[in-house]
Amino acid sequence: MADEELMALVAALDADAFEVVYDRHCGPAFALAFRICGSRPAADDVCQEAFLAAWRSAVRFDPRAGSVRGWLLTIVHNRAIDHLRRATRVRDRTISDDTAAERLAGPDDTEASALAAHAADEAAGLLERLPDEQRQVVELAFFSGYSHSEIAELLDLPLGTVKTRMRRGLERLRNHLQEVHG
Amino acid sequence: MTHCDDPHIDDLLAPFALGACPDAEADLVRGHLVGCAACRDTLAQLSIGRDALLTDVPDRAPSAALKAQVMDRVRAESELFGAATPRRAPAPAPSRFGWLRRPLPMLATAAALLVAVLVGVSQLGGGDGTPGSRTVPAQVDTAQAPRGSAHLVVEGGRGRLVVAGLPDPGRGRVYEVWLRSAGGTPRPTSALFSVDRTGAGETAVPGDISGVDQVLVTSEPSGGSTSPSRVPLVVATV
Repeated sequence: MADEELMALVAALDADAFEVVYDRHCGPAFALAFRICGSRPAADDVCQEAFLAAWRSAVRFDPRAGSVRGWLLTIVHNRAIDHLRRATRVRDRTISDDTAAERLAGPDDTEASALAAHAADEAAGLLERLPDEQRQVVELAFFSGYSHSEIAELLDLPLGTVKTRMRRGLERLRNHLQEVHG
Repeated sequence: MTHCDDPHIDDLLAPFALGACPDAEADLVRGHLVGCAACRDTLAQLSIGRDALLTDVPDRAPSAALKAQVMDRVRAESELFGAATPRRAPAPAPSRFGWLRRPLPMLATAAALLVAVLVGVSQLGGGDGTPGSRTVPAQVDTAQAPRGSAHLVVEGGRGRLVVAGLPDPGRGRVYEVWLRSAGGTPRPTSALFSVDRTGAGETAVPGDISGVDQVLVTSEPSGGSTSPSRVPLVVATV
């Protein structure tokens, strides 16, 4: 049964249909939550919240707006970023943020290099296709939950520069995907 | 890619796509998108890359315990709100009393099984006396409120819930009103209320309830919840 058909059953409170949806999408959902939150317990909490939110709002899913997976992962992303923002303040952000900010550090900085290597382990293919300056702002926004003004402050850049780099980064990703998939 | 005539909004589309706009700016963009096809088209193009990032992460397998936690809650809510599940024994035909007949896993003991109590319409007369209004009697869980009663006054698509004899919800807790339509899951509302020393209370039901099938009340932590955490105390079938 297709995801959209299952969601119609889920909207009618069919728990068995929801279990199928869960089994199909829990892997990518957990992976995304872990990528953002950085720990298994936090990713567990986020996924539980997200899947329960999806269960309770299934009646609002509109197949014309996108896939079930895209809808679910957007819920997971939003919950994960909310969790991250609740858990830390801007000045107290942890290793992943320092890592992103330190990507342009010189090779003499041992700690920065180690942190950059950690982030590189986590970064997957798409982001690696962006120039460092674009990847940095996209990563800080999408995976660390910073606003554009916070990123400008963190990187000591003009706000307009941050917005431009975000735009060019997303356009470059779109162009790459269209080349790959046609 | 087309560009909007409003450079300020056009400038915000990439941050908006990445979730990097503060709430006020995000609301501004959402409002603008309603009437600007150019910006909707631009956002759709930017979202291609953004959506791909959702799955562009290293694989990590969730634990079996996570699934158990999620599905336990899902099945409890499915039972609670009267869904038919194919693998289970056939459920009775949906009725206003259906949720009362099923064993409710959230209740601690058999003594806490719900018993429906109808408040006689004859005791209430024709609503609150206002022409055009009608009164809907509500079912009250006597296990939670042995002396409780409630009714919903409906007038012109608006509702007002009136309760009596309900226990104080408790320290750090409040009564929350939920709306349920078309057999779906209950939707939270902003209607949070408590009761006086006699157990009496009243609250307006937010919004137009013309398309609503049921108005429910549960006890929730102060500030309300996004999903019911307890068995409904009051159910009014509109």
